[in-house]
Amino acid sequence: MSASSNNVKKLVFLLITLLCVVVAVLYTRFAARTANVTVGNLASAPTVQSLSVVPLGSPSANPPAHSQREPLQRPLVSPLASRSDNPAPPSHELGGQSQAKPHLVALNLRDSAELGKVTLSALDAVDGPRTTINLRCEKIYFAAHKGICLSREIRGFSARTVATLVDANFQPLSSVRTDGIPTRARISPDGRYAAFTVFVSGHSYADAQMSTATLLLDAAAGASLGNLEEFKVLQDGNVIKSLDFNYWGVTFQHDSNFFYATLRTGGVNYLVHGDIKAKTVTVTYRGVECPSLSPDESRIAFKKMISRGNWRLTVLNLTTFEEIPLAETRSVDDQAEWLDNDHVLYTRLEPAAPPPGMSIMVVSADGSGQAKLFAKGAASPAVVR
Amino acid sequence: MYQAETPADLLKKKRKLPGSRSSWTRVASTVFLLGTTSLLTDISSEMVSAMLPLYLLVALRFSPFQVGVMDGLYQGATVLVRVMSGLVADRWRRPKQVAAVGYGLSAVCKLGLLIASSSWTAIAGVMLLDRVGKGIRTAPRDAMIAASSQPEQLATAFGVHRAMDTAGAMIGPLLAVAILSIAPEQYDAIFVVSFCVALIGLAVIVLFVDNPADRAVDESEDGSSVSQAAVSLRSMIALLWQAEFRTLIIVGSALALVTVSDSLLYLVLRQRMTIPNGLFPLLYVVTALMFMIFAIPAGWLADRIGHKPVFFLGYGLLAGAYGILLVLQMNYLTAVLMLILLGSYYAATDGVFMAMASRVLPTHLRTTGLALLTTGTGLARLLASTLYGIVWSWFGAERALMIFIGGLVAVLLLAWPTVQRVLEN
Repeated sequence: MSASSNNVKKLVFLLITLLCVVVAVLYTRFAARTANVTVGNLASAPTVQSLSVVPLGSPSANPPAHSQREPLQRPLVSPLASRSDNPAPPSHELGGQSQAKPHLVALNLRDSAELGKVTLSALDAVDGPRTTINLRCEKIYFAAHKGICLSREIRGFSARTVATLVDANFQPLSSVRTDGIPTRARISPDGRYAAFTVFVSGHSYADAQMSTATLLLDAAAGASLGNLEEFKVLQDGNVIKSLDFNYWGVTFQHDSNFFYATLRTGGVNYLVHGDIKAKTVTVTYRGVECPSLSPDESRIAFKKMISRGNWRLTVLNLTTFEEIPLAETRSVDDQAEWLDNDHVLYTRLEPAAPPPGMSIMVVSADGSGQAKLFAKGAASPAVVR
Repeated sequence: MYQAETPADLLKKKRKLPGSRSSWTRVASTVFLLGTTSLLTDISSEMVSAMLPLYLLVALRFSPFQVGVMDGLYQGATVLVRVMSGLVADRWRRPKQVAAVGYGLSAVCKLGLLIASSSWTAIAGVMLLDRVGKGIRTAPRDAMIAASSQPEQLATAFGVHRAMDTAGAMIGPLLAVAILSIAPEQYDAIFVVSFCVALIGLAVIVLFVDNPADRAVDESEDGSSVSQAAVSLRSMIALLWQAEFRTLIIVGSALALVTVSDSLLYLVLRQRMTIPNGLFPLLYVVTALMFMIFAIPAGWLADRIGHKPVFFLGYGLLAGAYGILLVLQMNYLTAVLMLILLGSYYAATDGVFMAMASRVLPTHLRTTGLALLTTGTGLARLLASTLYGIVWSWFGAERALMIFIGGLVAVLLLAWPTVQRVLEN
């Protein structure tokens, strides 16, 4: 090969390299500028993509990244907390609608402008006018003047869940962050404890390699009580130990020291009964996922796995351990919510509707009748009695 | 007919480079050039694949199922293409051009991602093409490394290439993180930068790498000249009947079958100890770092004491890594120890295995042979992942790992004397 052709090659190479480097640098700078503009716009017109918590009444100029800049654990009891400790019924004068009577707290998926925002509606008119709260969540739960709102934030390549405790007026009290994608949230009936579950790896309960983390929060004192995996597990009076404990779907009793949850170990899902003060859970029954305790505490509604990714909504009698499959024949992947002692609410995917097409359905708890639409274009029901 | 390198060949080549000792500085410049192309291409592809799941799940709101399908495509796509490209490269005797097509295809795909934007099928199609590009280029590239290296420093040459390749795989994700931190959620920027880097890599191979000249050796030695017709499907099948090569392909595949994929191994590790999500990518980084650091020393050692002992030592290290995971109390120290073993396993086996195969393969069918070999091990690895997933859900992670260690030790004990016997003869 001649020296001159070699030099030509070197020159060509230098040119290509130079061109590539210039393009790469310029484009990144251009993208960086676009990114800043987009963040600015998001503040006034939030989209579903940023499901971050926008505190009620905060100035609209607040960038959505606001919640990310909060310290990891803000002092949990803010001045606002005293209001929610007030035994008087919450005013809920939001939108002029009185919410003193039983109502439904859920997430709006109906009106695209308000996608993912918390809505309140009267139980007897759920498809009527809804009061929209300026709080976006992926999961919401509400009980005893306290709510828990799960949202996610992206950090580099990983997603984190932000669990924000809110007061009766949906003002943020405190937030806890943990690695993973939000999936379940509950508050105890007395508002003392909260619990939430995230997917640490895997993205759904159908995923064989999925791993979850369930955190317990002391909602009153404002402290994280840690991961349920730190609890001692009792089975037939013996302590069992394994490497692969995964918990999800906590449901509290009226005596909020006690709860039920799902524990998966060795590929089997168990219903466990937990004792917060003793830091123990006791294996009670097999094959229960995402339990939900009925108001009279006699039964548990849960999703029973038929095959991978296919669950039947079922009610378990806690005295006789009789299982009643409910009338809903489509697969349900949700933690059910009791409307009253005879009816169960749950979120169901509506494949026909544009994403995230979901509606809240209602079905009889005794296996009779058929599933009916309860609230169209809504998800994450919480019944406030 | 097959022309493995005879001792006479070795002597002849040795004479050409008087006093040549295995030293990585004496590795042919072609190897460094190919290494540079691999380094740049790996930066380019790893910066995309590191953030692709996030891009799909968060930016495009894909369902996990769709992402899963995509992963499957990723893994399965290369299989057929490999053998095809091997045959074509051997038949035309143009491994450089075939490899360049592969590199070029992957580069263009980065632009394709930019255009495909939010259509699921378009993105899946582009990723498929990208993997096809990888399938096309791997075997011709390895054949060129073998062809341009002295037999007594074959493993060192592969070690140099693998070290550079792995360096690229480590820089890629870091570059992606850097870009995302400058321009949050601007995935376009990643695709554009990735394309630019790939283009530079392509320029290196197109402009500076020449097709190896050692093919001439066959013709001059034989007199009869190995005609192009000798490279055909039939000759490929006949290749499988060659004892040394067949042994290597069987042993390689059997070992791959009892190897737990890295991502599954990291999941086991994660069950044994708490690793914050933010630190999770570090597992890949530490493993790759060890691979990079030890690739050249392992190659050098293999050229000194023989390829086989180093190769088997590598799998011994892998068994050690599994053992640590299973027996020891996991903390950051033991986890790092495990990752060191895992990275050294790659260093001691990946390039060395290619060097072993290059030695037993006839020159005119080298690319095809290497393609067959990686196809066999690739399929076995795919099967192993599925198998491990099934065993895991039946018996739990721990017992599954125990079964795989048992399998690994059994295969090693069976393979050692076989390889010894066949390669000695």
